[in-house]
Amino acid sequence: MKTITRILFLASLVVAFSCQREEDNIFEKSSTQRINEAVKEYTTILTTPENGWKMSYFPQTSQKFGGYVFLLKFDDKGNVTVASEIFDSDDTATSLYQVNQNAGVTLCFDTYNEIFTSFSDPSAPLAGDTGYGMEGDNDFLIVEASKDRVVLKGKKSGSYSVLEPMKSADWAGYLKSFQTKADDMTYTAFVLTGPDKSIKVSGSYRKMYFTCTDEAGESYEESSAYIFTDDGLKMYTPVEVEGLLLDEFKYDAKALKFVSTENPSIVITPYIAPIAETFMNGSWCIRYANLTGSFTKSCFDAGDAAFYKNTGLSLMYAYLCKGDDLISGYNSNWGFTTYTGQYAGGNGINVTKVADNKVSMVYDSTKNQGNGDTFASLGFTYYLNAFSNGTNPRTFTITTDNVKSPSWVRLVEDGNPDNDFTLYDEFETYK
Amino acid sequence: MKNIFRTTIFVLVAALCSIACSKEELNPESIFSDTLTTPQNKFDEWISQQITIPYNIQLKYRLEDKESNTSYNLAPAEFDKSVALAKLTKFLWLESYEELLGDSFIRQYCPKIMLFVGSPAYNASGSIVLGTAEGGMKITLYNVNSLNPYNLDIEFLNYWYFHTMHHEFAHILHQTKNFSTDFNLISLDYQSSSWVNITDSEALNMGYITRYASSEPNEDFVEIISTYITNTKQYWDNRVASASSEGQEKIKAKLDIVRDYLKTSWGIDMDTLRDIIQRRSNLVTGLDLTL
Repeated sequence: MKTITRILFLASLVVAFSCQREEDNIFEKSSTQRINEAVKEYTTILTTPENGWKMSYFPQTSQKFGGYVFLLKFDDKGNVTVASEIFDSDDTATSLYQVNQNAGVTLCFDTYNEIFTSFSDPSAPLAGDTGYGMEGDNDFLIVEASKDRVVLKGKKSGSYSVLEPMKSADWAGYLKSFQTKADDMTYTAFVLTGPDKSIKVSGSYRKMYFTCTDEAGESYEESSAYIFTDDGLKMYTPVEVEGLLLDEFKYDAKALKFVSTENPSIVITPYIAPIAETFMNGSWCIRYANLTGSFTKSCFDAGDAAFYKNTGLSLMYAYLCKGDDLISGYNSNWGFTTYTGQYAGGNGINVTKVADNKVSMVYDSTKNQGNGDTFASLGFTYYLNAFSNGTNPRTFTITTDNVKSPSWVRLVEDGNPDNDFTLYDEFETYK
Repeated sequence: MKNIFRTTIFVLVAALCSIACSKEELNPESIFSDTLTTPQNKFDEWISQQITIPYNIQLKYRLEDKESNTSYNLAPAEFDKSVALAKLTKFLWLESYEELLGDSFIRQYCPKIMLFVGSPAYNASGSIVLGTAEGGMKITLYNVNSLNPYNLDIEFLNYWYFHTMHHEFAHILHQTKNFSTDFNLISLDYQSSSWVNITDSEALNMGYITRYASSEPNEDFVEIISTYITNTKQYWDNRVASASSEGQEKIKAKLDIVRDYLKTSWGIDMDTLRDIIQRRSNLVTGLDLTL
C-alpha cells in the first residue's frame, strides 16, 4: 500500500508539472494583432485633425540646428501635405507617407517632399555639410499618440518631435505671422540672468550655448536647442543651467527680452551689436542717388569723370564691404569694392570703431586687391576722398532704421555735414 | 495483482499527462502575418503589372530604412521621377536583354529587388556612390531626384543610372559564373579606394577604361561591359584611341576576355547588345514617362 501511495504522490507531481506547461498569456492578443491594431489606431489619430498637425521638428542627434515649425496634414489615402516656417508661407508640398511596423509603430515619409525632405536631404539644401545636411529623419517611431498630442522619435537622430493639432485652417496666414514673430525674436547672442547670476550665451542656428562656471571656478559649457512658439521660445527639453531651470519663455518685444513663464526672475536678454560693428561686418551698397551731401557728391562726380576720361569705363557696382562678399576669389580685406561689368577692384580701407555709433575710415593701399592699384591711378582717389582724407582718417556718425537688422545706414562726417551718404543692404547698381 | 494495479495506475497517469499536454492548441495565426495594407496608387499597380509579374522584380520607390544603407544620410526619391525612371528602366534595360535573350534570362538572373533612392550616397572621401548590387539580389540606384523627365539627356541617364545598372548587372553575371583568372593578370597596378585620385586620362594610359575600373579586377571587368554597351562604337573607339599604346593593348586584351566570357558563358554578343541599347537610347525622348 505504501508503494501505491508513493506512486500516486509521484504521479500527482507529474500531473501537476505537466499542467504547468500551460502558461497564461500576458497579452490577450498576439503581438501581430496588437501591432496591427496600433498601426490602425495611430493612422486614425494622424488623419483625424481637420487642420492637420503643427509639428515642432528638431532634426539631428544633438539638435544642433534647433527646432522648426512644420504643418502636416495626413489623408487616409496615404498622402501627406506639408508646409513650414522656413519656406514661403503659402508653399505646400504633397508626398506619400505610411504608418507601419518597424521597430515599433513607425511613421515613414518615404517619398521625396520638397519641404519635409529638405531636413533629411544629404545634398544640404538648407544647412549643414554635403553628405549630411541637417540630418533630419525620414522615419519616426511613434512613441506616444493621442488625439491631442503625438510624440515622434527620429529613427536615426533619436531626437524627439511633437505634433499638436493645428488650430487654424489658414496655414499660410498662420505661418506668415509666425515668420514675422520668429524674425523679430532671432538673435545670435544673449545674456542669461537669474536672481544672482549672469551667464554669457552664444547662439548658433536655434541653439544656445551657455558659458558656465563651476564651484571651483572652472568654466564649462551647457547647451540647449530651442524652438520659437507663438509668443516666445521653448527649450527642447527643460534644462538646468547653473541651478536655473529653463523651459518656456515669453518674448517682451518692448523690453527686448525673453522672460521665463515659470519664474519671471529668469530672463534671457538678447545682445544686439552696436551699429558701428554691424556696419564694419556688413556689405553696403553705394548708389549715386543716395549721396546726399554736396561734398560726397562732388567726390563721386570727380571720380566718375576722371575714371571715364582715363578708361572709357563707368562703375556698375560699388560697395563698402569685404572683398570676397562681392567678388569671388578676393580675400576678406574690407574697403571700396567695385565692378565695372568687366573689371573688378578692391581699394582697402581700415575701418575702426570709435564709439557704438561712430567709425573712422582711412584708405590703406597695401590692402588693395584685383585692379585696386590700377583703379587708384585712374581716378579712384576722388571716390576714396569721401571716406578718407588722403592718408588721414575721417570719422563718421552712423544712424539707421533698425539697429538689430538695418536695411540702411546713414553716415555723416563729424565736423563736415556736407559729407553725408546713405548705404543700403540691398544689391543694386551704382547708377 | 499488485503489478496489474501498478500498471493500471501508470497507464492512467500517462493518459492524464497526455491529455494535460495536448490541451493547449497553437494559435493558427502567424505572428508574421501581414494583414496591413498601405494604400495602393496607380504607380503601384503599374509596377505590379509591368515589372513584378513579367520580370519577377520588386521595384521599391519608397525609401525603407531596412532596405537602404543606414550608414549614409539619404533622401527618398521623388514620386514623378521614380515613375519616369521605372519606365526608362523597363525600356532601356529589361527589354534590351529580353530582346536579345528572351524573357527567361532576365527573370532568372535579374536582381529581385530594385531600390530607388532620391539623393546620392556621399562617402567621407568625397566620392559619391552611383549604385550598389548586393549578392545578385538587389540593385540600388541613387540620385533619382536629379532626373529631369522633361529634358532627357542620354549621357546623364547613362552616367547616373544605366551605366550603373549594366555595371551592377554585370557583377551578378560574374558572381554567378566566374570569368577567366587570366583577366586579373593583365593589370597589376589596381588602386583600391585610391582610384578617386586618378584622372580619366591617367586611368586610360594605365589600361583602365574608366577611373573606377582601376580600383580592382571585378570592377575593371564590369566597367568594360557597361562602358562598351551604353555608348556608341565611335565613343568606345575614341576613348581607347586616346590611351597610351600600352594602355590600349591592355584594354584590348581585357575586352577580348570579356567578349569571350559573355559569348561562351551567357550567349551574349556584346556588339548586338550594344546595337539594341543604342537603338533604344535614341527612342527615349519619345516615351511617355508619366502614369
